Amino acid sequence: MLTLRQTTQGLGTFLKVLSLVVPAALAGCGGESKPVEMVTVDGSSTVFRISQKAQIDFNQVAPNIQVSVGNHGTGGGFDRYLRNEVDVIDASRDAKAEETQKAKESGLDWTRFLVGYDGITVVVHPKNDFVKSLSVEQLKKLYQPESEITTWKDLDPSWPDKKIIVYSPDSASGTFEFFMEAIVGKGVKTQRKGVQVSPDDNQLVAGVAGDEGAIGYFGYGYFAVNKERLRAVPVQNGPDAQPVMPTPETIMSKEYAPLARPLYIFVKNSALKRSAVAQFVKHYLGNIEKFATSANFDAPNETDRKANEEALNKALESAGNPSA
Amino acid sequence: MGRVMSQLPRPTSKSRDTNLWASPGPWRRLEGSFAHVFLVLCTLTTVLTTVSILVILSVQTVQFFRVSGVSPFQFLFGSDVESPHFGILPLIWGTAMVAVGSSLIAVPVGLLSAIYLSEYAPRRVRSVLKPSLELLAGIPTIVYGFLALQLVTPGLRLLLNPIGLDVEQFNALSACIVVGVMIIPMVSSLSEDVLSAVPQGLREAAYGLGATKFEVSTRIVLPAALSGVFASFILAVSRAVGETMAVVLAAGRVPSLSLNPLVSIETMTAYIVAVVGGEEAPGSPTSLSLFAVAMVLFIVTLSMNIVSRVVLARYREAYV
Amino acid sequence: MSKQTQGNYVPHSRSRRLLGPLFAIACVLATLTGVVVLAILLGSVLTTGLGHRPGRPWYHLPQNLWDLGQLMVSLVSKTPGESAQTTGFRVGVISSLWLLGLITLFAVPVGLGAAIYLEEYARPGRINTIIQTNIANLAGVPSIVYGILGLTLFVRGFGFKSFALGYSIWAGALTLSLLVLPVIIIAAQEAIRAVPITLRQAALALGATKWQTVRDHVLPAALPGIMTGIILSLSRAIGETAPVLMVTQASSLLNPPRGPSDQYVPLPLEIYNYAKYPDPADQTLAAGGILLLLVLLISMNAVAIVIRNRSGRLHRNI
Repeated sequence: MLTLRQTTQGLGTFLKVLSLVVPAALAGCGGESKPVEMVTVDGSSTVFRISQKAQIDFNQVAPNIQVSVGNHGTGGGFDRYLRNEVDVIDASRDAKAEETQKAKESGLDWTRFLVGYDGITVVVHPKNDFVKSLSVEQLKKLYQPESEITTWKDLDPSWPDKKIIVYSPDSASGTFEFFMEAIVGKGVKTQRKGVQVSPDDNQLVAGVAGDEGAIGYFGYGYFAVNKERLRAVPVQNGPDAQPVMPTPETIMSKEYAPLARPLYIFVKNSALKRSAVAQFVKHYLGNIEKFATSANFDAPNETDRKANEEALNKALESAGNPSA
Repeated sequence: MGRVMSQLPRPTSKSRDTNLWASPGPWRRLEGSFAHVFLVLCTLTTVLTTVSILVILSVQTVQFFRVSGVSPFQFLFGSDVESPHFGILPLIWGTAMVAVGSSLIAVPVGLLSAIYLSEYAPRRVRSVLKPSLELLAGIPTIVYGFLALQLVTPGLRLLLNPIGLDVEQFNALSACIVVGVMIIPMVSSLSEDVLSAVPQGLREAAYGLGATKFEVSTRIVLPAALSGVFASFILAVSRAVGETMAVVLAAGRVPSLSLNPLVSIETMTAYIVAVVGGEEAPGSPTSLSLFAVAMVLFIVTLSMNIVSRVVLARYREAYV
Repeated sequence: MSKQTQGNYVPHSRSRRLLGPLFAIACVLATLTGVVVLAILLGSVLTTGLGHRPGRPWYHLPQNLWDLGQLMVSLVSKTPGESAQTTGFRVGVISSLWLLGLITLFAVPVGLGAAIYLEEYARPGRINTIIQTNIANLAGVPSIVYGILGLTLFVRGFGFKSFALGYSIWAGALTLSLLVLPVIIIAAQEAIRAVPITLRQAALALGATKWQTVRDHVLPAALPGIMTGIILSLSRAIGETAPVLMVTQASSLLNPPRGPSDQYVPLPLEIYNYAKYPDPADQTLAAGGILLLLVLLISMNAVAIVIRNRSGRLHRNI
């Protein structure tokens, strides 16, 4: 039988050996050179997908630069940036006025770059064949906080009198905020009554795919990989416009309106003085098409990319790090 | 025993007729004092933790009430959770529902399992089952959330839709079931330890007086272990109250005050998580509200613990 | 002296006769519930993780086990890659191992210390009751509040740069240690309380000091119960996501941490990331990660259980 002393001694030795052997064995196998410099990225979980692609690709090119990508939400990203803990913010919305103000005051001013477009796709169950399109007006009536709509017939008298099961991202989500602003109006933060909410877009997919009378919305990427389980609804932006189906082309050309939202990164100007950050941002923006499309987003178009390049050059010059 | 005996000094011819007790030497005493100090420090850690939590929470709570303009009464009893009202009654209701519901599952199942493992199960079976149940405690909470969505909710639908009960995609019952399962090991494993520690002599005495196994288990062993069993209940319920991820995924995030367990609810913890991970600008009333909610949660669990302690004090029996 | 002693006495009253077996059945069913749920969980995670293999049913164990083994090895050796096939959880595994080691170093001694003090040394009184209630309360604080505490106190040092540990493993381990401390303390307290007072009296009568009694007699006797508390709490710590999210910087890293001052991404966090991706291949990856986590959990539990069994053998049925 083990006494306490023997047990603790044994445990202690075991742990000490473990803590020496395990990291050495596992980490030593790789034979990577010691990472010297760090680039810190944080923010939106949507733009995270693009930044992670950039991170992985950049590692092939410059394995001695460690890029860490965080996932604390756009708000969290700005918060940490303003505490000087982050070099690059992933943002699924533009910076708010107070945030820009605070940044300038603390000497943490940034340069904004466009890294992609996310088309918010409205979906229904594949068996739902009567909804040919939805106008912004109808979406507003359906999703606004005061909404009394409970059946499809309430939205359009020619549709069946079946109950609508409404799905939505939860009110903490950037998708929700954007959708509400585009469809209902600025500053609307409340959900309507009786809506099924989830913080996880995959659950929304499962929800709509599982209910014949369901309707929901999320980023195009989630629709693109679930095309057999869902049906996208063309959106009519205004009474005179044509209904537009969300596709990579219509989103990039901004024809799919008003639900194509731009995705940004905000780079700290002073951080561009460090060559690691400069290299990473250059690589990121230089290959942005590859990264955005592989993450199921739309890449910035020609004009956007030119604008990015100019902004980058200007920022690099003022940081004293001439573009090579 | 041998260790203690060997530390006694050997009797010399001088001390033959005096007692053999030699008080501990200076090193022993020093070791004892060091130990004492170390132990006190360990205990103080818990105090420090609470103080830190309280400081952080109260500072921000005060700030919240100042910035949002909501009064504490409106805050606690209002039913509109969204800003600018911030009435968290639905959240309190949601948390209560999950706590009660999951306890209703975990307490009986856990306790019966504990009794089985300690009184009825052969040693071999026990050595396999007990660790298996403990494994349930280690499964990440998100897995429980996904389990609720993939298995529990569809299962509930299968069972209840034919009777005409409508089960929403996100509902409180799934959350209760899943959290209940998650905390079973806390009840079963800890209770089993305490039940096993009851001296065998008690059982034998009862058998000697003609009790059946059932009577021995429930009327002799269980009351003897009651304080430990209650402690495991409290730990389990505390965990249920503080559980976040599983509830969010299973019950969704629509605050509701209804008695119907088949609709979505929002708990206080779910609200906190949502605000933390959300898009709120730091310093806004919504982002500060999470501290106020956390504060309420803290006070609620504290009252719960004080009450249970009072109740416990009455029923505790000490067996030598 | 086995616990299985049944009286040979058969009661006359039918209700007493029936009640016994009925109760026994109820107990068995209850225990089985837990086990069945576990089996379902493991089964669903396994099937998702291994992907769908048409034509190969689940009971072809050798082949399925081989697949499982291969999956585990590949997941442990790779870091995030371009596609789901080239991605692995190496960073997560190493981070979690580091965290586990440090948490054991912090939480176990402190938790035991507090439990010993409260049970053996402290005088019963108002202060003692307050501390006990406080500890029970801390067990119910939601994990995310510990995350906030960790962020403010350990990562940012309450504003004092010299105390700040940054987003390092130290901070994460300390935060999670605080989280599991109440469970360890309460479990240890109950275990110590269950040690018969005769043992202590005997030791004291033979001239042991209080500390000697505790260290050499009470603690070994209480070790099985203490180990249960440690098992339960470490299992919880390894699977936590919410508090860890708050005290880490990255959710994606390509280099595993080399020491406790490095940045890290624990396994549950990496899993959570992939679970949110739309691509079904990433869902499979997430399930694979969960399997990996379970493997880690089982091995850790196994070690602790061995210790518990070996130390408990002599002290049962006193």
